Amino acid sequence: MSNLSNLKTGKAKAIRFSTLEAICKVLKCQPGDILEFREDIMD
Amino acid sequence: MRGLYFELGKTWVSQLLLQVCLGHPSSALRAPSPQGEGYVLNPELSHMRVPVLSLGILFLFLILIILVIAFLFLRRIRRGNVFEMKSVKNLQAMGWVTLATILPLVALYVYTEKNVSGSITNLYVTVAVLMMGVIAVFFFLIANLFEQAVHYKEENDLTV
Repeated sequence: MSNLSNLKTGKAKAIRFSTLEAICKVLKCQPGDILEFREDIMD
Repeated sequence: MRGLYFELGKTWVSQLLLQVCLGHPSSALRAPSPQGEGYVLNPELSHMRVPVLSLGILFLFLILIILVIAFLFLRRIRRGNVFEMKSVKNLQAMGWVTLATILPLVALYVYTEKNVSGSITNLYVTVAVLMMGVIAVFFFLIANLFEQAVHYKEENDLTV
């Protein structure tokens, strides 16, 4: 639940490969379908 | 105020402090008589009683502050809240107070040196100053390590 909370509030700093795999498995998609690079929100 | 110092001078801690700084070392180890006449102050140095006692009490008061902060820190650890910025602040506070204990010791050194040149007790004070310096550095070192640990913990907690 704390993971979801971190994602929702935007506090998350990193993602584990295992988490990414689990999401891709459930949603039957590729990491590229979930992740997106946006230059405007870079530090 | 002067009366207060003399009253404080009757407690066993202050008697011990006075004996170590101003009296004969062997008399510091001797138990006081019921009339409180057990300790023998060197009459030539009796004028140093109030300043030395004040500096000694200030030193002990600072040590007490360190112990109180250490107790709060240990209580936090016992509750499981170890790697927090509050722990770092506690350790840094202990370091600063430890450094602050050097001030009354230096004042004691200078005062004793002015009154009793070449006093052997200043050797103890010098050792105490060095020890306090080392302990302060140790506290700051641990505080820095804790700060790093807090960052690592935060990084780990915010990884989904």
